[in-house]
Amino acid sequence: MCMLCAMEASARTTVSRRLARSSALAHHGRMTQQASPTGGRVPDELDSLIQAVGRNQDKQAFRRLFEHFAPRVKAYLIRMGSDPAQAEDLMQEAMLMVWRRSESFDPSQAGASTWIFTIARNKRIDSLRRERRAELDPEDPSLVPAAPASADSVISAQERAGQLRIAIAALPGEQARLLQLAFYEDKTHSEIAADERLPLGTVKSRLRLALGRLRKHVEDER
Amino acid sequence: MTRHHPDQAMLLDYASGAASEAESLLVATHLTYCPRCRSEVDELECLGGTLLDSIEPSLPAPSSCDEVLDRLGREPRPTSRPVPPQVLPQFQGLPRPIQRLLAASDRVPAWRRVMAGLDVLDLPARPPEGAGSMVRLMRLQPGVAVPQHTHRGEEFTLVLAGGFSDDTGHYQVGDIASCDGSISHRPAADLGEPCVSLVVTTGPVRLASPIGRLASLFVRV
Repeated sequence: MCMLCAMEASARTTVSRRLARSSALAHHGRMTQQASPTGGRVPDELDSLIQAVGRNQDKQAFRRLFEHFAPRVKAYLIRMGSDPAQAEDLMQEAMLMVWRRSESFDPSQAGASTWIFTIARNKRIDSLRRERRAELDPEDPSLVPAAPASADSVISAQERAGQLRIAIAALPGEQARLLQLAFYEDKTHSEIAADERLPLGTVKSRLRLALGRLRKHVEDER
Repeated sequence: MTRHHPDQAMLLDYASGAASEAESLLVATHLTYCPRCRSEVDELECLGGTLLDSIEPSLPAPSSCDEVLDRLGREPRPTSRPVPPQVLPQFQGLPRPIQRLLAASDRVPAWRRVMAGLDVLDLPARPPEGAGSMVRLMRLQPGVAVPQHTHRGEEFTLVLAGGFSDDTGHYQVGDIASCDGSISHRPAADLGEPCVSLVVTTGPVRLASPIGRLASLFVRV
């Protein structure tokens, strides 16, 4: 985890956003070289911890992963409406899944945080539903493969995450808040619209605007 | 190459986990056919991961990690690859998200005839809220058209085999056609092979013509 990026993502005023943006850019440049002084872990390291678990069933690596992700996954589950005891149970289930699935982790597809986010998300949905969440199966014989990407458009999952972090911090507060709502309050667009007393079309267009800005930012960096 | 995609709001609901079972099924199936939307969902999930990084942490119970390691010690070494679902031979060409749903069902799903040339198969996914909502497969024989109708809610039709046309366009494998109450349409299957599609509706179908309305007394569309 890189604290600066975390702080930056929560920085919402114009001035602090501008400051955060410049420091984050500087920070992003050295992100892969060393652990942050706050004891957090850099993405590279998190990726290799998952790989160590996958390849060697390395329990020490798992402990370090747990230390980093368990508190975040638990917080996510609480934000999504679980009480603390449920959140603890589900978080443990999710971390078990991290162990079980670690062999299939591919850092070129998704970074550690993204991969664990999807595991926590699915664990939570499965706990609420009769059926397991419908998921894309990468080994589906019906799968239509993507065209090979051109060399200059290839971007690593890690670079993408770094760029996104910067882009989120640069979003206007309202758009950033809607994105948070969409991811952390388990609300569909219609429910967000009802809660915010906004027309559905407005919520959709603001979210579209936010996603458009994020995409533009990421593309500009390429 | 698919040309008709789910809207971005639906992809976002899928990535964040807010989508209903039926919508998740629709999106997961579309993703099987559509590399473009796959990469869009990858990006949205990356956004979820980035937000997870910046969340205010909540401390686990002190013995939490030991408990998890203890449970790991007691279980057999897991296989990391997803096991292909076991389905009847007639469902084997379907995309796996649909196959998994069929495999999880405790009854044997069967096609039923609605009218000449049109069969449906109800899927055990929990449909979205609203009376008359449903999740089903629809099979139209080549050249057959569904009577002109409209919808009280929304309808999403994802083509799995063959193709069809209606007043809004032509749809092929992987394409999603979406319809609401403002559209009255008469989908007709392409000539050649039967058109099989996944249909998710959030409200009952209303047949448009007097004859259609009369027919609706006899056929459960």
